[in-house]
Amino acid sequence: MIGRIYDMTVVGSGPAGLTAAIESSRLGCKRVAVIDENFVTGGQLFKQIHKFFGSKDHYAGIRGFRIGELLLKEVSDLGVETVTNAAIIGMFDAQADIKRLVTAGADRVGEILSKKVLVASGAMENTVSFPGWTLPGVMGVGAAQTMMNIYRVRPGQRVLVLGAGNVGLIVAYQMLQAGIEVVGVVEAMSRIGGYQVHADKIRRMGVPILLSHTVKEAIGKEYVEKVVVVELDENQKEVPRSEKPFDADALCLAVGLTPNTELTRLAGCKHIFNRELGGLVPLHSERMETTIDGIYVAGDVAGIEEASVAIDEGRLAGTSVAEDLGMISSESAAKTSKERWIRLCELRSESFGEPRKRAKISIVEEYWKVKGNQMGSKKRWFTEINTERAPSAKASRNAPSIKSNDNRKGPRAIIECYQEIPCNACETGCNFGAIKVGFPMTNLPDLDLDRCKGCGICVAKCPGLAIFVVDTSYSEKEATVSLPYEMLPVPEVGQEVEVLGKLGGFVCKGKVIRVVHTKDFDETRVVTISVPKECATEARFIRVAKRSGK
Amino acid sequence: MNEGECQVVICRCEEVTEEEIREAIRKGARTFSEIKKITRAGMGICQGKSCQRLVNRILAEMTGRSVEQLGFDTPRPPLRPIKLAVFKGTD
Repeated sequence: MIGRIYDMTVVGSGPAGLTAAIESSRLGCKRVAVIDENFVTGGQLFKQIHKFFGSKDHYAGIRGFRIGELLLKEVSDLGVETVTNAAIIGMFDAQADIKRLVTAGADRVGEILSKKVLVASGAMENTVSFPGWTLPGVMGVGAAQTMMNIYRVRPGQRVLVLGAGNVGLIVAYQMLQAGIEVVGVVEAMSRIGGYQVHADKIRRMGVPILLSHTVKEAIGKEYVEKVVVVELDENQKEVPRSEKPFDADALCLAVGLTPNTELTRLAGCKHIFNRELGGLVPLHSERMETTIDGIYVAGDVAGIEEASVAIDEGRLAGTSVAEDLGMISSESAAKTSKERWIRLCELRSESFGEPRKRAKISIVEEYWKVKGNQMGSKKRWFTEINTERAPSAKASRNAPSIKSNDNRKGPRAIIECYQEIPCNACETGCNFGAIKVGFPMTNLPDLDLDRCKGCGICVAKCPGLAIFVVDTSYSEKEATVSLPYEMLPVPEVGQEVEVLGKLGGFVCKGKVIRVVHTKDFDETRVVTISVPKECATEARFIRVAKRSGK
Repeated sequence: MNEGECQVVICRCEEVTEEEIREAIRKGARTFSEIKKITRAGMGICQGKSCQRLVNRILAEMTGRSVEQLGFDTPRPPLRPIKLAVFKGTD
């Protein structure tokens, strides 16, 4: 790397960094390098074994590690250089036209000269302290996920999770997939912070979610053997004598993330504290440029959000780099970036996204307060986009439900998606145009019963595993329920299974009558079971007995 | 706060307990940097990545200030712990 001057150096090879590198090289930037301190590129993508939310442009319905594979292939096709095992330990001449990054590898220190630097350094896990938190077995939920999904090692046999945000809920589900018993998910708030569909996935498997509770103490001689959980009152104070002991050999802390801003702070970029975005974040423009010209940010470092946001922010930053290097005109950059912002506003709409959207807008406004009029040629187009436009289509907000007058014969989809989350995988997945989400994608899905054939493709496509197909006319006394199934062992046709309800309770016995799996379903099997008619609205999961001798 | 809770280690790298942090605050430390200089919390191999938030929380609780008013550490190169031998191998 000696003597070369890079057009763009990307620090961090997660979704934001990779999409930024792809975008800028696609637009003509020649010497683009992606640097990562880990052994492999991809950031957190390769431990995400679940299907992502969002739209087609955000790879919705595709498992995270496959998105990683897709992005890495694009990166290599475009000739982007990737360097692993290299930590950026310093940045010098940050204000100059050519910036100097210092890298440290396993055995040497190197230097990278670059015209533009994109910091996509992601986030780090938060922790909480309580007696016993330093015992082996207490770990960040991200660590548990790495152990399971990268190294194929179970973090424990009986695990308690602290934190019912999306990360805690998703990893709890992945633990169940790995054959771990999840004894409970504990949440200090009085509500579930993550998506209800993620909570439903584990609740139907019988995992209790304890709201207004926290961990008081982890007990064990050499490692965790017991975790004491305590109830919290409305002032977040412990309720006396409300302690509940759980037998557990691991405790996973899913208590949030903090943007990893060391490098942008070292460089001298201005930062601001924003609770909604996870702490200290670098001020940045709508073009993702920080207060230092030529240094950009994207993804979690610029505020803790979803991977879909990181993907779009990376593209935004990549476009800005191409513009600032003269590869594309400001007009064409502004045109695509405006569209991306509108889509980011779409991702950041409704109850889950709105607070983040407001926070992000305040970051951009703060940036302009700092930069004032010294921007010269860089045009401020932010005020030209209507950030309020996105969450407006309230007309299509019909709660999906079984209509009581629905006496149609044959199978039909039941969509149990009741929160305005930014995802339309069901709409794009349906071959019959029976499901409509529309714009913005936070709209609740609307099912057109006349078009629904009950084929079950949406059952496999929904990343929230929230769609079922029910046929109440299967036989005189029996109905069929088709449900998504991502566990082992895979049930066999004819097998008798225990049928569980929405909260994991035993409902009835059922019989497997069909197991559908295609390459496109990607390990989400659609299992159809027959159950007594009266159980059809409750039957949502099956417990498959392990076969003896296998 | 019972005795057990005060024995809780806050900075794992330098093995600094909650009681030591509280004592530093009682003596007048008002920022993470000041607590770091008195107790070594945050001076270990992770450079405060896990304990800074925990220390700031105790600081906020004891001084009645919000976390955003407390200020943050100053990152300095090298941002990652590296062996001196690695510097010798400079290319």
